[in-house]
Amino acid sequence: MKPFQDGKRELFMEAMKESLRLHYEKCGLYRKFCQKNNFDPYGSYTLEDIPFFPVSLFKTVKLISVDEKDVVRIVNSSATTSGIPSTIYLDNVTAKRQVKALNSIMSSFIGSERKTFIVFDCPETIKSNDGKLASRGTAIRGFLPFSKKMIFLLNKDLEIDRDALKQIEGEKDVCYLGFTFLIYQIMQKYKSDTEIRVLKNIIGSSVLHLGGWKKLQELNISKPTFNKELARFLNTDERKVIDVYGMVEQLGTIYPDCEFGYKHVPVYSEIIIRDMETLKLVKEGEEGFIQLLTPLPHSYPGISVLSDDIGVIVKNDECGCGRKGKAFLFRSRAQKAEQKGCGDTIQQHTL
Amino acid sequence: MFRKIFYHGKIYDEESGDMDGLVAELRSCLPYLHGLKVDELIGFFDALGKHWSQDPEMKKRFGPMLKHWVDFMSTNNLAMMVDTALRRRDSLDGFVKLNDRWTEGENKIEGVEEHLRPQIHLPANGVLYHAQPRGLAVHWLAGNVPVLGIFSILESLLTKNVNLVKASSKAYEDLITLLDSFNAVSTPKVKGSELVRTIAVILVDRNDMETNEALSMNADIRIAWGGHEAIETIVGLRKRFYTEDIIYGPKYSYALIAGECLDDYKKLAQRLAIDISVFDQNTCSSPHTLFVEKGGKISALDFAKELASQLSLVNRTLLPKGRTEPGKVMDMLAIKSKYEMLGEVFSSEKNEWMVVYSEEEVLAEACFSRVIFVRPIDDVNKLAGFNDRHMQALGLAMGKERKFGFVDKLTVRGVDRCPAIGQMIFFESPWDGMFGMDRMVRWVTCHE
Repeated sequence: MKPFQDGKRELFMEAMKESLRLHYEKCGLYRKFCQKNNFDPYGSYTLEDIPFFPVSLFKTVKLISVDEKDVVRIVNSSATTSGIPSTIYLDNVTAKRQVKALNSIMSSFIGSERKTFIVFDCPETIKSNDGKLASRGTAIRGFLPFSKKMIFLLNKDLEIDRDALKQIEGEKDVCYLGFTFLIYQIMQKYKSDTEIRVLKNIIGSSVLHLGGWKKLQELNISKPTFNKELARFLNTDERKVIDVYGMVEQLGTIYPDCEFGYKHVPVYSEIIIRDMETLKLVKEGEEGFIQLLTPLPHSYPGISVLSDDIGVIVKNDECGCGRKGKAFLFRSRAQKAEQKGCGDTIQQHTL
Repeated sequence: MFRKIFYHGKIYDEESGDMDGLVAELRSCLPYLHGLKVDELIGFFDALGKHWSQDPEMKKRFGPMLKHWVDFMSTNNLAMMVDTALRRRDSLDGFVKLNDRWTEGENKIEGVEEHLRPQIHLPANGVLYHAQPRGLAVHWLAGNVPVLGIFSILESLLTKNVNLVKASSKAYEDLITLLDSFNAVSTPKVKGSELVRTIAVILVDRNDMETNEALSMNADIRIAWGGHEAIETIVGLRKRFYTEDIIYGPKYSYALIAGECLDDYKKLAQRLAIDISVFDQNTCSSPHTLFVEKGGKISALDFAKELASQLSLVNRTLLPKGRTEPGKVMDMLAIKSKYEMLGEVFSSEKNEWMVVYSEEEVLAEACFSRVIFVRPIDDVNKLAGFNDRHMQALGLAMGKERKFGFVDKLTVRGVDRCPAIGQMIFFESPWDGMFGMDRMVRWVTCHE
């Protein structure tokens, strides 16, 4: 099955039902959650009826649907907003499914031929520590199947590694990869540095950047500005700067920008937009929180989660890029509710 | 730079950089205030309260809080409050004896009520006392609960200080409305239009450290209402050596219902619902966790259900909740989902309120926005372990037999107020463990 095609709804629903039943049986906490929400995975329901919980729940509750001995990797999120990371437990089944979905989706954007990846990060990032891996490392590792070679551009102090620049010389068909804010920082620091001209010698490569816009939003850097500056920095076309949306709670199902700037929903997942106050479905074209559904997770019940990202569905099956299915735009992250009054209590005194 | 929004008794909107000029004008009003008697000021505030209570617009705008303000501003309450804070309120008007004492006679007669027992007069030692104003009080008000600032302004005026108020740019209209109403009230001794000229309200960008520092350096009293970050910033500003600081917040409050009080659980749930709803838990005096002692007429879980129905009632009939911010909706959903797995949750469909039941004997992290955590407790003495100076109020329902001994032990390390449930959010003096007015004056002595 192609990653972006229409007519998936029935098949997708069947897969969701199977997955819902599995987690209902294997994860007691998830079963209780379904029961409290009057949801019976063996009953009759639509996609929109499937209960959801916020992605942040993985920060406070250990959610697991397999024996702990079957867990092969523990992935932590970056904890940029709250300071507490999400913890996701992956078994082999989940990991394989995620790799398969990721391969399928990415092939549609950068082709199936392996390329040299120039990574805006240091090699240490992808090394696991006692079976645990930070989200940055997990994300970069996910792109290993597409690479014939990975060159890490930074040293562990996150500065450009001059030896890495030497390795890049002569490379032609490359793909850049990195975290949005880190790329931005490097670009700001080295944009006048003549030694990085080796990067400018590679013309028209794709740049995949991930990790979200929170920090750039704080700096008032818009997406068009970022794309323009980055395209100039790496001597490529703005349309080849691809923002990849995704989250550690649903690895594998990612949402890169197409050349028209839209994010397409692959056959492996579905998105629903919910009202930011009532959490009910919004009308077509209205902004709201993005709910993400996917049957891929086997070892944890992250199959229907609500993110605090705000998005809007803009197209159904009619994008100029030819990809079918829903297309949406990521707007922003919901502002964290600020507590400025005298009741702004101090967290360490509570549990 | 700053924006003058209330000045000379009028609503303004004017950019200015002349802090010295503004401060000089305010300071020039000190002799006017000094010439007023404290009872004349109290009489004015009583009249102002009555004016508010008769204004339908005010009633509509401020809801149940208005009654609290009017009660607070009554002559009886203010006179008692100033007397308590300053020993004798007329110490604000001139030199008075404070150390005349009456003590109980030695020959106690068993069975005679305390107030009928013989008293012995101990004459003063010849020292006279006078409470002089400190001068300029600068108030930094919090964005979430701007009207709380009216209390520190009233206390400052009663102690005859002039006032420069740095309001929050997000929420200052209510405060301005209250101050503007001074103009409409006059008593035989105090014209509101004159008194209000002793107050100016400005807006300052939070990142404008130069202006914030100028405010601080001009202050004789720094009064700060706010969260952790705001207070830390204000306290960190340079100040003059003799400037007095009065810090209100950040603090946490919680509540306890003892087993013997659960017979009256419906009334307690009604009152607690008010404490939770009035400021949507944004004030330091709003409860976030309720402990229910085991062994009473109903269980903590049943109390949680009753509280849920009272919160629903308050939201429908008395205090409809405004819009909930998207970020807060997500916070509430995270708590709801967690405790649907680990406890019990009772909530409204549109996120107006939430009661979260679990059997954790710890204080819950505050969510605000009418989210209350209800937890059973077997030994109420365990609460003492949670207390330090970050705790403000413990709303308490407990039989008199053990209440005072319990409160004494509980408050050794922290907790400044133990009001009855239903009274938690009402401002009183002392607040946050101090008599604000006592810190707004300089005590001057003179010998007879």
